[in-house]
Amino acid sequence: MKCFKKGVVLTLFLVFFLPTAVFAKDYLNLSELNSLGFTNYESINSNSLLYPFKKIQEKIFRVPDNQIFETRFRELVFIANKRKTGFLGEAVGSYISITGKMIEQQDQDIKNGAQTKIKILEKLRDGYPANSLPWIQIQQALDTTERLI
Amino acid sequence: MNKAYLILIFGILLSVLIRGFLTITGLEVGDVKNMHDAANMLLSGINPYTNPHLYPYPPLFVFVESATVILSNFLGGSFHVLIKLWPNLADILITLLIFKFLRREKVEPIPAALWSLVYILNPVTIIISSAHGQFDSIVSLLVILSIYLLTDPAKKYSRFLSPVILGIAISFKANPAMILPVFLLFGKRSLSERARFLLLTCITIGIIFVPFLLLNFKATLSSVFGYSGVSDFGYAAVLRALWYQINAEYWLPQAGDLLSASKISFLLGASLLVILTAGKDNLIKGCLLIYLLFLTVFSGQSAQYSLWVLPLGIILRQKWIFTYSFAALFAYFGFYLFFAPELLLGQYFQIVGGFFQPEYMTIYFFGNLMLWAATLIWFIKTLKGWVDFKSLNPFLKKIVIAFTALFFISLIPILNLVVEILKASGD
Repeated sequence: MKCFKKGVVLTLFLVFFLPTAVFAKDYLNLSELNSLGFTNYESINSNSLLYPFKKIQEKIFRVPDNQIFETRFRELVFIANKRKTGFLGEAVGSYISITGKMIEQQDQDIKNGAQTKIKILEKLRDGYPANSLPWIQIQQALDTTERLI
Repeated sequence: MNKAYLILIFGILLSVLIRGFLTITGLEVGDVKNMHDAANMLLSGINPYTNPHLYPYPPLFVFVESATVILSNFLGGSFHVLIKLWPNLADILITLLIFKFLRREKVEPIPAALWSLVYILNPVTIIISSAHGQFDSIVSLLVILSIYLLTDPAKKYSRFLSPVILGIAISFKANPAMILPVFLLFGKRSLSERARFLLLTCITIGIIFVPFLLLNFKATLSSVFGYSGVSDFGYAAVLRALWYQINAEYWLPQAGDLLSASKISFLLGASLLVILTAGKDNLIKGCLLIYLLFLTVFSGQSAQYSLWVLPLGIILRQKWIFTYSFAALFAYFGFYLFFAPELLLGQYFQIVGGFFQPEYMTIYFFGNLMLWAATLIWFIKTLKGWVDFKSLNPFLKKIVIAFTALFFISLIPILNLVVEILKASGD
């Protein structure tokens, strides 16, 4: 029974965390992103089957908007950098939506961090062919971020 | 007894109300649209099998479809409403047959009525017959009727009628063909009796197939036997959902390989089960085991396949049916809401925000994981205590060991594919 339980835990770990942690081919490696001011990826991103639970948890615990804004940005970086273009539209949409709220709130800390985000998004955008759909989607995120300043 | 009938009638009426709502608010989409197109082809004098993938079933239902087109033209009603009348009517008849079956097994009237309602009020049967519009309940009705007649010692003509009815069932959909060996080897009957059963079943199928085979031999055979199902349910659906995490692709590139490998495993497993159940008196349990093995091992499953086991499990009064039905409902929600909300919600399909909404992929994944686990546990529970290995003669023991070994070896390519998909999901 103990072996069975260990097997279940290991399988769940492999299924849910390995995909987002180890094997993905990045456009920029994490140290390159860190040098641009990026901290770290989210453990659960919008491609994950566990993502709806993360969203529910945010609603239940009433996570503040500025924290959600940072989370959506890290998710967007993950999706764009791992070339998961099928999820890019959703990630950009969620990011733009929370950025719109932040523009209204005029938060000084958010304004200060916007320049770093712009740099990262520019770098990620340039990883795609100019005027391709992912390029345009990241550009939309970039345009909205610029409105924070 | 009167109270039991009242319960039965109330349950059926309640189900008719729910089914009526789903049918009337439904749309002519998916399989129902294909049914309409196939009927129009036949009514225009064209063999529907010449259009590949339009009609992958044996020929009998296309006549029902054509009759429904004529009826809808005559009455002025919608085809999608009228075509769903037949599987829903079959569901009511199955409910009554289950009641009759249970009463014959000396089950008290009220429990018999309540068990019968587990079928007609089951969300699986309601969704398949009234929302999706598939006709698997017609096939199930004929299978149950065939079992009922074959296991009725009182009526002599039943032994002739049972194979004919099974042949008709196979002429609607091919799935009862996988339980035909169980019918042939069931009980303590003479070889001539078994041969007569096989002959009558084959003659019935042959008569129904002949016109289409004469019209277009190759197209008819390739349409009926070339169809291996789609990976919409079962463990293939779990893998499909994991694959989706890579880049929102909802088709599994390895689905073809998985189908071929799982077909071999199922055939070996089914052969083993047929050997183990040969000569046993419980025909329903034998059929149920084959279907459960199919749902556990075979990767090409559609939504309607989950219905096959329900009447058999209910007649055996297996409580696991509730867990199974709940898991199936969960899997159905995920499947329909993600891939085809118009099938489940009809004209209200836009309330879920359109097709391919990612949050429903999560329900699809967990629903199918639950459904596959529930099916596997149900299979093991049913098998447990049913087969007594020690009582087999030495020759049969060797055959059973050989088939068991072959079955487990045949699972290796499937496991390899599963590992490959899991690994690729991480790239």
